[in-house]
Amino acid sequence: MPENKSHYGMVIDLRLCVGCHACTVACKMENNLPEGFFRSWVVEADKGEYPTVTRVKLPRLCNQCESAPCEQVCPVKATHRDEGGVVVVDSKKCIGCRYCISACPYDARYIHPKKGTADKCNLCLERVKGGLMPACVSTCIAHARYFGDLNDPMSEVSQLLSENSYQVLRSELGTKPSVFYIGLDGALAGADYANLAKRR
Amino acid sequence: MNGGALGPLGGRGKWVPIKPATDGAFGLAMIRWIIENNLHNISYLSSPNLAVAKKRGFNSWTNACHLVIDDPKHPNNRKLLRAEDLGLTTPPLPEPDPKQTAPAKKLDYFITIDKASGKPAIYTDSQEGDITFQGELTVAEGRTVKVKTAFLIVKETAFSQELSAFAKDCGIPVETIIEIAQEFTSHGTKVGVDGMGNTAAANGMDGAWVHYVLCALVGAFYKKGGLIPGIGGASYKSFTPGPRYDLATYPGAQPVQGARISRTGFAFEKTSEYKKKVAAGQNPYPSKLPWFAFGSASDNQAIFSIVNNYPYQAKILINWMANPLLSAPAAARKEVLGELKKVERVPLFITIDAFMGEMSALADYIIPDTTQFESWGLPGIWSNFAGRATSLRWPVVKPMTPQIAEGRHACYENYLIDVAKKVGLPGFGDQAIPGADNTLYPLNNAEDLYLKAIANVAFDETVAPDILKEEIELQGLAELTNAWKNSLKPDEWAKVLYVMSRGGRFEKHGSGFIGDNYKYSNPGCFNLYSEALATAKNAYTGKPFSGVVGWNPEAFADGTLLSKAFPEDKWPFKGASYKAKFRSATMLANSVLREFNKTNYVEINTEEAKRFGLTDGDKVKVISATGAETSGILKVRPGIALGTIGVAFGYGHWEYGARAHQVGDKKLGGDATIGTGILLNAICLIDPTFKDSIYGFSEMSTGIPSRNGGAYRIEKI
Amino acid sequence: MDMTFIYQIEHHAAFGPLIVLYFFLAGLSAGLFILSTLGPVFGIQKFKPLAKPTSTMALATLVPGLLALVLDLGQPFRALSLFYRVNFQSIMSWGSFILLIYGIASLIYTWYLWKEDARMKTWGKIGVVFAAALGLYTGFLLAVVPGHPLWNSALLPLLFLISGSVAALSLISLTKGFAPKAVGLEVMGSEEGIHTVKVWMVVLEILLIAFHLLAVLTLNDAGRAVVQNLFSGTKQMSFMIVQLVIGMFLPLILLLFSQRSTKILGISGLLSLIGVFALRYNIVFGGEELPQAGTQLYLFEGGSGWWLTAGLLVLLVILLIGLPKILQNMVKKSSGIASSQSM
Repeated sequence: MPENKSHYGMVIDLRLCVGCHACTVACKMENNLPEGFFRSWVVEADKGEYPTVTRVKLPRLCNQCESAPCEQVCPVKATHRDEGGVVVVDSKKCIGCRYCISACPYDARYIHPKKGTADKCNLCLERVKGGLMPACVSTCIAHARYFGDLNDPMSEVSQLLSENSYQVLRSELGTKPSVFYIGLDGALAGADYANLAKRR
Repeated sequence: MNGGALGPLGGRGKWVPIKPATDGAFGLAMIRWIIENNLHNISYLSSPNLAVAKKRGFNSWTNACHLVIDDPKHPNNRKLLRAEDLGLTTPPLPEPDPKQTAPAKKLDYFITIDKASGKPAIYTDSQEGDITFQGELTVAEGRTVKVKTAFLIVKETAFSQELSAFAKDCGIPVETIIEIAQEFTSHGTKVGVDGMGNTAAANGMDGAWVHYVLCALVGAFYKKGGLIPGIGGASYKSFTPGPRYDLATYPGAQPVQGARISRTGFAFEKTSEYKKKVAAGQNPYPSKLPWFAFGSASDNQAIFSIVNNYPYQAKILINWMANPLLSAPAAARKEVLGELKKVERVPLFITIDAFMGEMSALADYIIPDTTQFESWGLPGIWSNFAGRATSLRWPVVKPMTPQIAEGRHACYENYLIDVAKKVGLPGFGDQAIPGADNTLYPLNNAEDLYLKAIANVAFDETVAPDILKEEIELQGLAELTNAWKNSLKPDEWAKVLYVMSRGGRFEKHGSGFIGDNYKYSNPGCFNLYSEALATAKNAYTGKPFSGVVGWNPEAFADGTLLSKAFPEDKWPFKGASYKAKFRSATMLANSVLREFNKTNYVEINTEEAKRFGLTDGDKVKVISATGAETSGILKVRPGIALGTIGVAFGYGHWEYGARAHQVGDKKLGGDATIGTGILLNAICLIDPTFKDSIYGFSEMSTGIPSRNGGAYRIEKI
Repeated sequence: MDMTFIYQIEHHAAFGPLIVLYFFLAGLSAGLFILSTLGPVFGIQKFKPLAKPTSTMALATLVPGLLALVLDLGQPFRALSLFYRVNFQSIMSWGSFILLIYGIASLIYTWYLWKEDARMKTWGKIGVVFAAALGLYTGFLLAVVPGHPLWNSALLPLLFLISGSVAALSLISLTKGFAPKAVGLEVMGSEEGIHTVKVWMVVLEILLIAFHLLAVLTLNDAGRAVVQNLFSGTKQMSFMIVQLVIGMFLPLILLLFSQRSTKILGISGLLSLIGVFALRYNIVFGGEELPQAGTQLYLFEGGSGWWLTAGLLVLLVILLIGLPKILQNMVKKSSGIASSQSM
């Protein structure tokens, strides 16, 4: 990413998240999402062995990878980059082939049931371009989500990253996410194959 | 009980699982350990009055060092010792206030053993009381009276069991209890205890009281870092005799008379039933259904009164914005619902509701009501803010209820006003609300009342400033003055709009404290010993209640322990009904919330699941010990206490859109996804003591329903 | 793991039955085409009788395959944009051009083949290259998708090509056994040679699957989970019973021990075809079913995709029977000579 361009990203401080899921609802309302589909959601788990149990939470969204598998596999370049390097889908070009759905290791993408095209979080770019924060960041009651330009050393997100140790999801895949977590418990980010849910 | 939600505190929080309805055991164990290790604050507890406590740096006081008559032969046994009991001279009564029409309140001169003199003294005259005194005091002519301090009675109760016994009862290891008690007594007055719905159990009175007693041991009340009232702190005058209008009294107002149908706040000994039985020479106890000397209105109890026609028939039942059939434990049982449907039982049932809830669906008449966006209110705010505050909501959209006249919509307030005017009740119509200028102002519409309340708020204390013209434009408030011009005097609008534009009136941040002391503290005494409780009688057994907090395992009205009637080896679970994250009655139709939260579960601990051979996702039946069952999906997780069934409240609806209704030519509702999940209240215990009545298992002094606790078992379907 | 997931949401799997069908038909078509060229283009005599029948079969399997691909798109009317919006990093982009050139080449080759025009050799050579590419690229398409241990293997393209060839040989056996006149296989000759090739192909296929699964099993937790799912999880029936027993071992036994009857060989062919379809299904569905995070399996779409799949298979049968006749008539008309001889 060229240094003089902006690189939008998000920092989520898991030490503050209370698991209220307001971000999930705000995103749904802001982006008028179809029923059953989410661009942002929160995973929760009981962690620990009784009686030393805590509840861990993990807000999830598109990781805006710098090396995005979805962008790589799109045959018609409908998935491309917009301002700040944000990965977006041009729904006028998308042919609905679903390759990107399989390619995303973060479950961030889905096919819109009515439009037939791929859809995903675009960091609320219309809001950002209008000087606002993404809906999930705006609504977070615990101020656990931060958005900004990772290329700007004075931005809130850059400062948070320089002051805290942080993690990303599934770094072994080399996707180079632009979403950073402070206080991530890796087990919450992965799958629990020993306890797969039964098909109902 | 339902735990593990401690993520954001990092390492500074810890969940300690506790068996439901055993808070008393945990609290008493802490009290015992604190007293045993002399970690209670003697400086605070030995302060006989507020002035002494304040001098010592506290902001509240207790009756720890006040003496209690512990003498069965004494006529005032179980009461606090007063100067009259000892024959001491009491201070002269103050000059009667000529303006006061009500008789002067009788003053109580409680007694403490003054540390300096070693002799009994009136509490207001002493600078320090002996908190552990017990003995006989001379009255006159060699007569004596046996007394004990309130603190000593608390101590004796706390020492009634070993720590290990308390620990076994509540399921918390002794080391953990000690660890918590140690931490609790390590921060002076900067500690607090908070509880919520977990105290709604058949022994919930003690469960709640123990919070206060613990804080009383360290003097935390009304101190910064300690406790302030959770709700109902200082507010501006609104629905009271206020600076502009008197919204509390009006000419022709009738005093409230009679006994509430809920049997709460009315001692059995005051009822005609009691007096008749005594006059006939019979043992007055037990009452047909329990009466509670304490408490205010209770829909939990009212439901059972109604279906049993006791103490009297509810000939006309009016339900407003309430759904006791869902929220009152055991009210959703088939027997109860069946009774409510009978016209002989409730001849006329009117509901005023915005939603077709479970209760409203049974009504004969449904008056449409407005929602929070279409209505008025001045709710109290929770103590996130310590200063004086009144919050406010006003209609921001035109109500969707039917328009009944120009500028009038169907709603609760307009319904009451119209019926009252038709019936000819005073206090409604054109000559209703007394102004401060001794004129009567109209009460014809909802806004007539609320805008005047807001005017009181605006003019209370320092009068609020005027709103700026720009602010009116920004918020589009100009049309309000026109729409509601008959509700206020012209010179009141500028200040009322100021308050409305800000959603209320709030003191500046930080105004709630002067230094470390909460500014709006109540000067009343925190009772370690409650004379009112000690002299009130259990309406079934006729025995008086304990005057101090205790560990009272759940017991039925006749005193039978729940654990004896339904032993834990057959009924291994207690219920914990908790507040759901994604549910509330008004948000039910919000399909977004239902999308990622389709149902609730029967939640049990991983070890319990192993013990009973159950797996996560199993369909299970939950069976209550007093016969009632329901089914749900099992969720197995470590974040819930052993021996507990956790059920989030707000599910298992059978109305609220789950069932279809025909309204005129429109079919409304019928979405089965609204009705998913399990309602624990539907199977909560009834009290088997009462063979001829249906009565929900409740606490005997206050009528708190058994929402948590009880006795259940689980079977796989 | 000391985590108990409490709140998760359910996500949807990417590829459905139409994609499975396309993978199946693409490999089948490619295999048929390559077989078709072995005689006339590469001079291997014993395969000459197969040339014309397999050429029409290649087309007959290609058309429903293309239809499956287009019908599966969320925006099928934008399918042509694949040719003017190109992403060189996307295997699917490459695939659309492979399909285009293969389709054109196989059409022209088939035409010249049936007209017995020498230009078929050139177009045959072009077609073979793109047929091989067709058979391989679908495996590449899956192999480059990150985080799918069942797909991420260099063996997958090879497995798809080999199983495609097995499918092609099986289709020949099936049609030879039950409708030889319709597809023009009444005089096939060299059954021996074909059977030997098929036996070795099936053995190779079994070995590839075994090596692949072994590598996936020992790779990591996700790998072990996906292989366990095949053997004892949601895919147990379709993998153990349908793919392995019915689709591989049973036809192999039939092949090895009863070569006389064309009917039995035909049944063996049918079972093999089922096995190759099941292989595609297990790899695609089995490979995308397990969660990337949490415990919720991915949701698969409703039944409409399966109905379309069934319909397209019916179309396949119609084309298998109809195309040789159509081609015969067209050749008759264009040359004006009544052609009743096969080569």
